[in-house]
Amino acid sequence: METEHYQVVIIGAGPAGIGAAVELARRGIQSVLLIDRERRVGGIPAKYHAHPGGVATFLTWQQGRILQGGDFALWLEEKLKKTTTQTLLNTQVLNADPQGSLLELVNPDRGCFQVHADTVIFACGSRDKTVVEKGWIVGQRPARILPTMQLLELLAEQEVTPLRTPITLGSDLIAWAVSAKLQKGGAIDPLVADRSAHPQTSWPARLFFRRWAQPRWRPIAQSAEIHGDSVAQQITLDGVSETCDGILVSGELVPNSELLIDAGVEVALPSRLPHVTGRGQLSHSPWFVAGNVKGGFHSAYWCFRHGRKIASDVVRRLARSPVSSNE
Amino acid sequence: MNQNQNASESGSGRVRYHGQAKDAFASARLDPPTDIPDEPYDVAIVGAGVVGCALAYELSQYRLKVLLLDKNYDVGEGTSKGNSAIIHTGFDAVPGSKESEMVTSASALWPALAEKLKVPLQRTGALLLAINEEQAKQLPKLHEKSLANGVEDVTFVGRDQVHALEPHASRHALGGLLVPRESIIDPFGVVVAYAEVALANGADIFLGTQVTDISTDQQGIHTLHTAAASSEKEQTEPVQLRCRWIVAAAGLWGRTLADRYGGAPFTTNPRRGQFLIYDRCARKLVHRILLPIPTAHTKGMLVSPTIFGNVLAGPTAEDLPADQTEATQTTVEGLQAIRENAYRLCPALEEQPVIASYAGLRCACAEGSYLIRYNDGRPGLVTLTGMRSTGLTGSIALAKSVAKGLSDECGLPLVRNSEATDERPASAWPGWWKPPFRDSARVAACPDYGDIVCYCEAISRGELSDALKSPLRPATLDALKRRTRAQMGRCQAFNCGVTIARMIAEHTGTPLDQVSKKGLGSEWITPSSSE
Repeated sequence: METEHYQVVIIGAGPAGIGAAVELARRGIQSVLLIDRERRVGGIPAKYHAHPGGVATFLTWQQGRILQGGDFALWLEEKLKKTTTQTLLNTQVLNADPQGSLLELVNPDRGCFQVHADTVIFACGSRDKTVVEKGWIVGQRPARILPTMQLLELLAEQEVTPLRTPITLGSDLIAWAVSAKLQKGGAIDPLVADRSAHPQTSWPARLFFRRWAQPRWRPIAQSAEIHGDSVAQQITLDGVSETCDGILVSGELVPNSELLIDAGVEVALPSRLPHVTGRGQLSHSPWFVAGNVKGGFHSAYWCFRHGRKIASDVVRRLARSPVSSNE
Repeated sequence: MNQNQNASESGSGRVRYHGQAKDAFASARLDPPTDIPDEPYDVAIVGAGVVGCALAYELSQYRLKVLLLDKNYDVGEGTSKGNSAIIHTGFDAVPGSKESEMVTSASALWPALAEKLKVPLQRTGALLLAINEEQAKQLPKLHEKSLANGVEDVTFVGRDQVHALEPHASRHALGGLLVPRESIIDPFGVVVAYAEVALANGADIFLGTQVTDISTDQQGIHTLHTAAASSEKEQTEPVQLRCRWIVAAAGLWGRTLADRYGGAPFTTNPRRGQFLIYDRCARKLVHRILLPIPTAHTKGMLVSPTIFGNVLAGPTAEDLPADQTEATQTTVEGLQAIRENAYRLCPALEEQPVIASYAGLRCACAEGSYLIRYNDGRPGLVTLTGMRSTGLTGSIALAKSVAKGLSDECGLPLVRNSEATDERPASAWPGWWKPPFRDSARVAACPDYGDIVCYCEAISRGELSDALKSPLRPATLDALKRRTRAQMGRCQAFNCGVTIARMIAEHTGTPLDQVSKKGLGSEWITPSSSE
C-alpha cells in the first residue's frame, strides 16, 4: 500500500478542525489533510438546522450578525473554502499509530489506504451520553428511546415529528435546546427530567428558550425506569409514573476519543478524557488535541478559536523539527 | 416480490411475514392462499429461538417439509438474544442429568459446527476462581464433578499460576480450576445461520405469526390456527397451516401454547439475567471466562471476554412470576450487584466504562431442565421446555435427539436428503468479522463497502445492504443490529441510527415512520398518521 505523506493531518472537520486548517493555511503550511467521517464539514453545528421555527442554537456574533447552528456551519465552510486545504469527507480513520503518526483510512473512492503525518491534530469532538452512561436510567429498552443526534437528523426532515408527547432525560443546554426544538416541531406537554435538584441549564438560558417552549421540570433523586416492551410509553421517575410516546436522552458530553483508546493511548477512565499537557499535546504522544474532545462543554466558536491556537502551536513545533522527506 | 414460488422445485424455502399491507414487511408478506401449500407440512416447529432453529436445521437434512414459525419478526428475538454467549463444556452440570448429556455431547460437536455455520467461535477457556479458603476447599469437589460429567481436561491451578494466566484477576485468588475448552461465540449468528441453512434446504419460515389454536382432525393432521402477532389495532385474516407433526419450542410462551393443545402440566417462569457490557478497552484485562465458585443457590456472576471484543459481566438470577414473560428490565440493584461481583473477580474493571446493559429471561421449569415430551396432549406433538441455562450450547444435541425421538416415538420418517446442505450458504455477506473494505477490488466494484455507516464498529453501507438482502429478509433495526453489529458500539446508534432506519425504509419501500425496532407495534418514531 502506498503511503501519502503530509506535514499535518487534522482528524475532524468540525469547528476546531476547521479552525486549525484555517490557521495553518494562514501561516503558509500547505501540506495539510483534513479528514471527516461525515459527508459534510461543520461537525455538530451543521446538524443544528434552523428548522423547526428557528430555535436558536449555537449562537455567535460574527461580523455584525447573530449566527445560529447551521448558519455557523456555513460560515465555517466558507472560511475553509478560502484555503486550499485538501479535505476528505466520508473518510474514517480505521486505526492510528500515535507514536509513529501512521493512519489507516477508508472511504468509498479509495477503499483502505495509508497516510503518514509529521503531526496530527486530533479534533474529533464529543457526543452525548448514552442511556447506560448517564447511570441512572434503567428498565426496558423498547423503541422510541432517541438520542440527541437522531432527533436532530429527523427534525431536519420537514415532514417528520419524531415524538409527540416526549419526556426528555437530561437538562443541560443541549437537552433543553433539543427539547425546545421538539416542542416547536409539534410535540405537546414536554417534560424534562434529570438527576439533579435543578435543571442543569441556567435560568437565563431557560428564559431565552421560553419563547419556543415551556417544558415541565422534574428533578429525579434516584432513578428513571423505562416501561414498555414494544415502545417507550411509560416511565417511572422515583416511583412516580409518567406516560409518553417516546423518550429523548440528551445532554452531558463524552469525548470521541475512541481512536486514541483503540490505539492504546492512555486516557482517563471512565470519562475517556485524553491526558493533555499545557501545550495542547497528548501526554505520551506527539499528537495535538483541539476542541471539545479534550473535555468540557465549549461553544462552537470557542472550538474554532481553540483550533486556531493549537494550529499555531503546531507551526512552532514544525519550525523546530527538521524537515521530513517524502516517503 | 414473491421469489421462490415453488418451494420443492427451487430447493429453497420461503420467508414470509404475517403483517399488514403498508409496513416494512410488505414485500415478503404472507399471502394466503398463494403461500399456503396444498399438502400439509411434515413438521411444524413453533418457536424460532435457538432450539427451534437448531431443530429446523437438523430436520431439513431429511426429506421433510418443514415449517418454522415465530410470533416475533426475526429468529432469535426472545430469550436467545439475551444469553452470555458461551459454549459450555458441561463441566459444572448436574452429573447424570439430561443437561449434562446434552451439553457434553454438543460441546464435542461445536468446533466443526461453527465452521459449517460460518460463525466465529473462540476457545478462550475458563478459569474458576477461589477467592478465599472456604471456596478453595470446594475445588476438589468441583474437579470431581467435572470428571463425572465426562469433562476430563479440567486441571487445578495454584495461586501463582492464576496470576500468571490472568494478571488482572483478584489478588485474593488462592487458586482455581482451568477449563480449557469453554468457548465464546456469536450467539446471534448461530440462530441466523441455523435458520438460513434450513431455508436453503426448503424449510418455510413464517415470522410475525402467532399460533392461537391447534386442532387435529380424524386422520391426525393438525391445523395451526395463526394470526398476525401485531398490535390490537388491525385485524388480519387468520391463516390455517396444516401439518403432521408439531414441535412446540416456544420458550416462555410454551405454557400458554400447551394449554391450547392440552399438553401435560408443567410450570415455567422467567428467571431474569441482567448483564453489563464493558468497553473494548477492558478487553486486555480478561483473557478467559472468569467464573466464581458456585453456591448451592446459583452459578454466580461471571466476567467474560466477548467475541465482539468487549467484556461481559453478569448475569443476575431473579425468579419472576410466570406471567411476566416480557420483563426484560434492568434494575438499579441488579446492575449494582453485577458490578460488585465483577470487581471481586477482576478489580481493574471498576474504572472501565460500561457501554451497554441488557437482560435475558431464562425459561426456568419447575419439572427440570431439558423437558422433552413426545405425543403430549395428542399424537404427533412434542413439547420442549426448560432449556434454562444451556440452550445455546445444547441446541445441536437437543435437535438430533428430538429428531430421533420424533422417529422412534411419533413415527416421523427420517430419510436423509442427499441434496440437503449442512453448511451455511455462501452469501455476499460473510459476516461482521470480515470487513469487505480490506479488499480493494471489492470496494472498487462497489464503493458502498468503503462508506462507513456505523463508525463505532466500522460497518459499511455495503455490508448493511447485504444483510438487508440476506435470505431471511430482515427488516427491523434489531435484526440488522444482531447480524451486522451496527448500533451495538459505544455510541449506541447515536451516530448511525437514522442512516440505518433510512436504509431499511428505502430497501423495503416503506415510509421512514414504518421502520420498527423489532416488528409491528415497535415503530421507531411516532407514526405520522397515528390517531
